[in-house]
Amino acid sequence: MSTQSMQRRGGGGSYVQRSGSSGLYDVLDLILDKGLVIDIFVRVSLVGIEILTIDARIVIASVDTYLRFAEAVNRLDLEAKDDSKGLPQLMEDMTSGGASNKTKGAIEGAKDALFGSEDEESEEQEPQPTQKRRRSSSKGQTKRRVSSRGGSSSRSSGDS
Amino acid sequence: MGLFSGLATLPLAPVRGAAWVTKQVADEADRQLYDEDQIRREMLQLEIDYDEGKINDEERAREEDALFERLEVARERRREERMEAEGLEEPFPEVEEPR
Amino acid sequence: MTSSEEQANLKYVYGVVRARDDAGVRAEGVAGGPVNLVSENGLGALTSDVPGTELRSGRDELTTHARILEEALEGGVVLPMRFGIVMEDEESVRRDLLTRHHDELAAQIEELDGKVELNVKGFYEEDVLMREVVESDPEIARLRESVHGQPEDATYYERIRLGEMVAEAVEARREQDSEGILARLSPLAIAVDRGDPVHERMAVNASFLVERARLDDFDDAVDDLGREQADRIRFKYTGPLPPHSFVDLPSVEEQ
Repeated sequence: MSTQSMQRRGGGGSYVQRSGSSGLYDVLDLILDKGLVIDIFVRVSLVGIEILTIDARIVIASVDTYLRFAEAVNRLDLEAKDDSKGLPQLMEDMTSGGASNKTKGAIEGAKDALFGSEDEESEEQEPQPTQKRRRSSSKGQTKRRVSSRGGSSSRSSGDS
Repeated sequence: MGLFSGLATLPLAPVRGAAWVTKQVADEADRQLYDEDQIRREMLQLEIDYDEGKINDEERAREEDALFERLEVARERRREERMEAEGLEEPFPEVEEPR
Repeated sequence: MTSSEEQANLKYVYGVVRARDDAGVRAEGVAGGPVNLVSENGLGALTSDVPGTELRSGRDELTTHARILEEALEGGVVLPMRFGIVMEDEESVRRDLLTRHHDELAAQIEELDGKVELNVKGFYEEDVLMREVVESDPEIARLRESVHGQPEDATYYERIRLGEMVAEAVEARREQDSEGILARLSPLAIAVDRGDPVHERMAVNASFLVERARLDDFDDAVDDLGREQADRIRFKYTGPLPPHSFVDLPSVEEQ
């Protein structure tokens, strides 16, 4: 199924990119992290299937991220107002090229992790985590139950 | 490689020696390469690049394939680590008898 | 069911629907073959056969699972399973899924009937964002000044510090923009599930459970946001999707 456009009433150009189908990133999010889980499984060897236990994974804002931001502000031409067209050069570093680019970034990050930096918040062996990401599963703390009356603890209900 | 030639000039050489450092760096690089969050982030970045016209269909598909390979390795490793950590022989516990 | 793992056919389960005449899904299953319906007591499980050896969680399998659920949604309410739920046989599906969890499943079928999931992501235009950050924070502007044009080696740690400050400023903006966007959209939804800000240029990431009857209103609201924020945020709007983010089954261990 290729990307379908959502039905739209009214004409005119849309500022919003629409799709009727989820992209790969969303597929991973929706079906690996979410959805119903039951605790009776068959003992099948599922390659790449993780054991469903509570798992908190930490989003690490690495040194790479900081350097990218630094470069992004450096690139600004503050004299003249810059029309933003397309992505800055640095974005290419983040994406194109296969393992080699990523490994390079990882090695630099690792180097910093091992030898520390002059920042006050120098850690043990890890780059500074800036965000905690709770990967909640059905077995985890956060119940994703929909509650049509009253509020649900894990989310805010809107007026319906 | 700049990284390794630079080690010799560091004021404080690690006690455990360069070989240990090399392994740590390699392990760290490896770990980040096969970190599932990182892989997913790159998946999202691909989508962003495609949406913003930086890459075309073909390149996107190619990079996605590479990411999926890394993803399988990543998940397989985590599964093995988990099994080891919890002393499990199989990926899943005994099938429960329903009451 | 033999104990050997040769051609034993297990049941891969995609989701739960109201019992109906047939699965109503044309797409093939994760290991090929048709998608069938296993019914019990008013509920149905969408299943397909998988061999009893190995099932990969590769790209094809993952996308197949997602697309089957999208197709199922066209025929009515569906409760999506997570990827990788494999059961021994039809009997097990009836007994251990549909019967054992009947009340929970039936309740969610009722609650989610006529409702769909919509995902809204927003990405900052990076140049605009950087400009906002520099212009609104004198310390960042100052540090940028001192680093600007200097050789990278000499300013390595300063640039990290600069980047860290920018990251913090971006995070603050993200919080603010997310709150604002959610405040606009949440009133039109029944429930909201905020996603993690998994990308540094993300302005917002949330899934909404919306009644089909309110879809047009929701569309309009997203459009309005897109237009208002056109110079700084690019919105990506996906749906209608099956309600992956809004289903749940308590596990035995939780009780």
